[in-house]
Amino acid sequence: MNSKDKILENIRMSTSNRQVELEEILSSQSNEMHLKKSTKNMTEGENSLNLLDKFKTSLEGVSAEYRFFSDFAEAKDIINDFLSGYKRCVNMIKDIAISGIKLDDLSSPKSLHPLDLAIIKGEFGVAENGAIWVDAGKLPDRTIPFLCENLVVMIDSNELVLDMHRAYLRTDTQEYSYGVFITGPSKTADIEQTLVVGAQGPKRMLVLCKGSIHYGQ
Amino acid sequence: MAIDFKQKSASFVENKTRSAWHDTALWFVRNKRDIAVMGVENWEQLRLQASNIKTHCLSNLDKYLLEFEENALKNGAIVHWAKDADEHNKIVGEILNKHKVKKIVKSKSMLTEECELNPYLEKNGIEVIDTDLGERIIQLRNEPPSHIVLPAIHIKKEEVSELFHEKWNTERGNNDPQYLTYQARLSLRKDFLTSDAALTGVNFAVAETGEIVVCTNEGNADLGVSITPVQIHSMGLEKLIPKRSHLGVFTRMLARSATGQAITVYTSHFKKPKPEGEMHIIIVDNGRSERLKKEDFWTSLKCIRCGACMNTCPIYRRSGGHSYGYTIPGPIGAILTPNINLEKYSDLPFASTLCGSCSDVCPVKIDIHNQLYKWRQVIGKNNVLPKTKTIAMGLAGKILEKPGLFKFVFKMGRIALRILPDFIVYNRWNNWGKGRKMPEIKKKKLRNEF
Repeated sequence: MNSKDKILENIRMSTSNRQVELEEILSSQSNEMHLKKSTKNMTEGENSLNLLDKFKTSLEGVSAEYRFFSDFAEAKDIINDFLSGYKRCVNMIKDIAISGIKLDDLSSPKSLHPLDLAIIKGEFGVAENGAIWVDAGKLPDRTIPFLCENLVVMIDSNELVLDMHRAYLRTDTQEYSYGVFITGPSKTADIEQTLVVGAQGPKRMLVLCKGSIHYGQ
Repeated sequence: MAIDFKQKSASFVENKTRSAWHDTALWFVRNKRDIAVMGVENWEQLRLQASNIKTHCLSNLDKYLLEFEENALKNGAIVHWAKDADEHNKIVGEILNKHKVKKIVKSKSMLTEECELNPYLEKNGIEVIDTDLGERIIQLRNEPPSHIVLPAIHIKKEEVSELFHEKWNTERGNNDPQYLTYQARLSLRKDFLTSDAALTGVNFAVAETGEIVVCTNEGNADLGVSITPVQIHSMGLEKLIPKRSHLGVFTRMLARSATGQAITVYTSHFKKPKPEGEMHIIIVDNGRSERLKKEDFWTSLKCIRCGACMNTCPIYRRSGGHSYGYTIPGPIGAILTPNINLEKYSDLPFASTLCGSCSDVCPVKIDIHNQLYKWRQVIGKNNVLPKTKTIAMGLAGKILEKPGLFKFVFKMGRIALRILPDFIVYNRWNNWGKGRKMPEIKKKKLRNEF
């Protein structure tokens, strides 16, 4: 018998008398009840304003910077303001007129290094924690958001969900090979519990919010 | 050799400043957890749900493992099954040999610590670099982790500074965590750029989609997996959850319970290999399916490795993780280890006051303190209790059986406590006296109040 069969056989010896129905759990799920309750209470405008406020507070809590823009010329200025004097950059957003490295010329992901700046698109944000869903499998190289020293993620400020329950409902229909919730720049507190921003991934992160509601900072 | 908790913790406890510092550092994390948890309005419901999902999954584990495998294969991953640590290590070794890998970057994985993968690979000529900062520190010190989330929590920044100076010639005496973290980043960047494969642990594996989820803060797992052509994910078979929507429950709980963050910086969903890359998933048993059979103890398999039980435990905080002599220390370690070797770890379920704080903070509602108590019974029945404990317990049992004798002994005790010198209790033959203080005798007896 191979290991797989041995393991499964051993498991079957114990699982037969322990059954808890999945349906039972799902129907009692607080997230579904919670979902229904909170969507009922929200009018459209309040909804997005509240989410945006929550999202901003969350971003501050995870050491992410954020700026709002109304047109792409402004977006370019904001990025140059965020980081000046960068040399090597990858820009995945065509509308922003910043030229970067030609990715076709790269022989391997390692030749991306060193990468001062990466500008990528985020699909949507999560208000309760500041996470942004990034479809990293769609990028020409999966390394881009993690190798760069400074990361800019552009999202539409109307594309926000309240919490992780809704976030997973939202990604359920999307086909992806590698998706990541990114929540601020990389960090560690492994030395005496002192928070240090900038561990192995980006040292700074800017969330660039495109929105009809114009918030200054 | 059986682990002697008292002996192993002695040096840690003797250094009072350090023990107090460790205690405070972990209590700080526990406080952060409390604040984060209070911010979630239906936390108790979430706990119940998480616990139920795990109960359901573990009760249908064979079915979900097969579903997971089927979907992972559809995604283009290669799935391996390992019945024990040796087989796991051999599988990793074979994958690396096939690709002529000379150097591998690892992100944090308690499973590979459990399997002792690093020494195995090193023996086979493969260089292993742990890329989580805490793990890198203990790897350079040639030490096991002392905590599952904060592996280097027992080490002071001055020691890290000295270590980095010695290994990387960093500035001597610069103890700034910012500076030290940056130096590690520079060193690790070189490792990422010269590695040929990456290995990660797994936080959750979703049966419905065949994807695996890894939660980290430093970006090391994503960087390693993306930059190298071969990715390996080692998972204990209990990491499974049935549906993707269940991730909503667990990702809300894990980081809040662990460090007080609302979510880890990276919650990464690895589903398909990169173009021209290879993705391996190793499903490891290593005693887990045996544990599943134990009526009193199978729920310990629900553990999502957040470490909250350690941060809250008064014994763990004051004794340090190395006192437990196992990769997973603290209350959860003390109920996992007797499954592995009852005799060797028979002391660990006694390293507890049974205060129950561990069970209160557990996000998946494992009744840890009850299991600690039940393990004590098992250990007693199997005659693997240390002799010093059996004699004293036997005597106490006899006295407690007879009210008359109890009354007499206590009367004598009251007198003895007043007149006998301290060395009767605190001497080298009385193990009990170590680390305990005798109570002050009150004039009035409680019994006389009624």
